[in-house]
Amino acid sequence: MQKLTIETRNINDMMILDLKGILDINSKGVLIQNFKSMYDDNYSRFLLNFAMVTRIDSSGVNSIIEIYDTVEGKDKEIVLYNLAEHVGKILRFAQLHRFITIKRNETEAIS
Amino acid sequence: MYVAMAKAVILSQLRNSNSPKAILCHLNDLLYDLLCRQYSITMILGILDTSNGSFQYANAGHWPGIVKGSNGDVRLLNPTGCPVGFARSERFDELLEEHEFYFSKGDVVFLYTDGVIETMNGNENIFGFERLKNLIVETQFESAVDISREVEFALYDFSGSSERYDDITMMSIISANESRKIYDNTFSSDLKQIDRIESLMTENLSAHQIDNEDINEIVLAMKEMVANAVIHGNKSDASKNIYVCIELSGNEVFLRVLDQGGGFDPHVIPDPLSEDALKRTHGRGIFFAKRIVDDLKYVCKSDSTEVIIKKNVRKREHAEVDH
Repeated sequence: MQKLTIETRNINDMMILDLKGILDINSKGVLIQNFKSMYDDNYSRFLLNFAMVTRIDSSGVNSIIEIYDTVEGKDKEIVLYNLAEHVGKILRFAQLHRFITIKRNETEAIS
Repeated sequence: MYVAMAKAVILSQLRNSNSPKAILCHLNDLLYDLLCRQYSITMILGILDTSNGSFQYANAGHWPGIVKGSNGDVRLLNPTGCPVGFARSERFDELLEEHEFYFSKGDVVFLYTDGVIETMNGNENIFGFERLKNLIVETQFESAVDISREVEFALYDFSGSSERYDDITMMSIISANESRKIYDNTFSSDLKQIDRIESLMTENLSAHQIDNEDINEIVLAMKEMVANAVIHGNKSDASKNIYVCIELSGNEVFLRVLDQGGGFDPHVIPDPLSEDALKRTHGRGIFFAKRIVDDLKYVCKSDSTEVIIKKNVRKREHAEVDH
């Protein structure tokens, strides 16, 4: 069984990735590869739904920054939302909110 | 007189240092010229932390201490350096190593002076180390006093009415620490092993009613430390191993990760929250671990690095019931 699975969907100019599982050193490649294969310049926002992500480690955080690097300076935005308590705590430690938008839920994320 | 001086120096140094090696190095530095290489002092200097069952020690040329685990395993606190007064500071410091282990409930430690080993019988045979070790290993002890008493009886039986030439001092410890090893494994330098450890560790900690968020944080610390051990410690060399151990003692969890790398200076890790580092895609592992545990320390040696982590945990109030 895969540690991390990802399903994608679109809303207007937004691509949404619904992540499920654990985002860590052994699964970060799944996120990066998925994102790169789905990436399209026509999207202006990329939403990562963490509702079903139970754990994250420093490599998982690094993989989010790698995704951010691919859109930085292209007038596009990465948005993270639905963070579980544990995942939210780790991302706060890393202070990702200083350069990546973090929202509480999908309603806020797509608005 | 020299022993009295050594004792005074050690007691004084204990106020400033919790490292047996540092204290012995300082002692040697002070006494080397006084002893003039005519005398030397052997000793095991150990610091027992009863709050977590850790025993940190250095052995300056003394007979090995004997440790009998509650599971029957035997290990020796072998000399990790030369006697005090035997070599000048530079050489002495270079030779002396410091080690640490954690007591589990029922573990026995026996320390003694050379008078025990060198007790003679009427045929001028000495009692010897092997006989002492076998006695400790093969006897079941109820208390620490029992150990010293059994050894004393054995020495009398052995020597009979022969004259004693040396004094005898013994120290016995039996751990009442409730610490339980709930996971330990040695594996090759392969990051894929992290998934298996994560799964087993989660299962075992959950079975001990540890709060789920605490489990998440212990597992995170394990992943960061094992990843560092594989990548930075063992340089992903598959011929080198990683040892991972997790122990539960009351409301404290102890995690140990040992690699076979050359160590590093944990004080030179850059701040991952600085403007320069904030968007870097590396360098957060130790930072995260430090944020979520109560104590994290490294024991770096020329051929290994061990990280020892302590985390206070909460227990779930009610066991989950399967419906």
